[in-house]
Amino acid sequence: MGPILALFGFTIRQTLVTRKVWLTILILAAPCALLLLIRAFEPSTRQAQTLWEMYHVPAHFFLMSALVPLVCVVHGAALIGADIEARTITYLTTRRMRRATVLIVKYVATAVVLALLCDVAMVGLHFCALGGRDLTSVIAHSEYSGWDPTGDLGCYLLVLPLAVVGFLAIFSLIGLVYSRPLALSVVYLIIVELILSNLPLKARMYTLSHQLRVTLAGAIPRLTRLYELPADLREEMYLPGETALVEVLGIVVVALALAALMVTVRELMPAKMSRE
Amino acid sequence: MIELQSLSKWYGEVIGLNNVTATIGDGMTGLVGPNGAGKSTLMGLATGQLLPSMGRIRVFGQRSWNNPAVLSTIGYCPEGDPFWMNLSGRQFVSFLAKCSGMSFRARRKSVEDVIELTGMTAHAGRAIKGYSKGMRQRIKVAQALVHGPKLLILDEPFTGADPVGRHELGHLFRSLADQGVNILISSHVLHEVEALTNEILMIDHGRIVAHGDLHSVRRALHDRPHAIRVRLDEPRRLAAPLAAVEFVTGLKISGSDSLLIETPVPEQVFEQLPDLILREGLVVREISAADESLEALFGYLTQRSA
Repeated sequence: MGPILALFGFTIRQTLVTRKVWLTILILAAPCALLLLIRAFEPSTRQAQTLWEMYHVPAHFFLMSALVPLVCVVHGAALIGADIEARTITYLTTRRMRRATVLIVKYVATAVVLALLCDVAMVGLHFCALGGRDLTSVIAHSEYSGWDPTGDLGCYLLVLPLAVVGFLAIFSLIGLVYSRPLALSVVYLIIVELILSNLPLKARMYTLSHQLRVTLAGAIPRLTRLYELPADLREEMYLPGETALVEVLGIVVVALALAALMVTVRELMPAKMSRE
Repeated sequence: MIELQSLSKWYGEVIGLNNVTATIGDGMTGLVGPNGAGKSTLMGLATGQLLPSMGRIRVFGQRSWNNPAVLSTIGYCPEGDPFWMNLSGRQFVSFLAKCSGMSFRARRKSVEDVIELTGMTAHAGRAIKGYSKGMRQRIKVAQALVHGPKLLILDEPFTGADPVGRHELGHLFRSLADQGVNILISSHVLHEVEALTNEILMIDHGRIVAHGDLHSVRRALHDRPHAIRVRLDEPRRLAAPLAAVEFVTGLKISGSDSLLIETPVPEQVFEQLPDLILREGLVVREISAADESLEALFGYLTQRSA
């Protein structure tokens, strides 16, 4: 366990001291900044629906569906790639660890850091949206009277790490497949996770965004009413009452298994170095 | 120690190693050849960084690719500057010692020992990004030594080191070899390797052009006349009687104080030289075998294999 723990701690430390972490914080803080801006112009919203949307639109559509994947693109593409580029991978793969172990440990450590940052961002978003408001009086006599923001926050705090785990696995795999991982990851993110997952096609079942949406809607059923969708389409999009935890974890396992296979059978050296 | 069997490695159309078969035995072996000869490729294959395109390579009888049991017996000092620049030298060595599975107590002692051995004690607390080239070489050597490997694979360890650093590193490698550590050391600066070991593996264009003891390799080149350099004040006076000697096949006077004698049997010439020098009453400053050096040998061999 010694080498594994050493690499785990080292990866966490390195993730926190590089410039990428500031970019990550900047990206994840964007919803909070947006909410503070809205509150500056609209300090005393009295409509329950407005408050509800002010909370869930940034959390669901902005943070979970766009910013978390973006952050995972940044970190996933460089999970092993940064060490290959700096050629420090040489040290890790000539020590007492299998190549797949190096990948998995780095993945887990990075996922832990990102999950924590995402949860901190979510807590920040919660307070930026609802902090200091007299919520009880606003929602008391509205159709949102049963709304429990703390319960919703709990759901997000559980689903966001799940999103990190899933997206990081996918983008780590892409980082190993192609020599320009950042470009391919962004293309994948836009075409598959942002467009395909929102189209009324069966293929969206294979996207992580859809599975996360289903899982979140299973925990917060009212979320299905976030947009005015026809009932049949809404049911197709959200599959109310279901959870896709198994599907999400399935995607993680498949992506990580493929990535582990790739590092086990492929050389991890920049071509110019290996040719001397 | 390292067995190469019909080993080939190519990168697309570029050949790194071409059907190489050899056994690198215990002790210190110098891996020499010009840039691009295939030295780093061979080291990459031995340390499990590269996969053979054909053939096989065994280190201590086992595959090194993805094999922690073998890799934990190897200390690898790679070429270039692969560093986590924000770490201090001590953190760098200590982290890699942890990755080698060393216990806390063994690690603490070993890290300080190798830092001292490589002369880095005064600089170990500083960030690597502030290190000179020579310090970086030393700290790379330290990390290769920290887990007490049975085999050290050193890729161009003298590059960037100052003369004092080269001398100290050379001294360290010799003393490690004396303690029983097997060493495979590469360099394209031939005299660096020559100063460390007589056992050489010479490669060029991905092929082995010579392997074995430096002097026996030279003796095996029967078709190439040996060269003997004599430094004296009046080289022409010695050249005249030498021209009559049966075994002398060529004479070349360079400058005002040097005579180069070519012969297929240097022993015979060495036997007759003192008499001739005494007879002519000459004062000789130096007699040396001009082409026993690795540099000369490499010139011959690469010329032959071209």
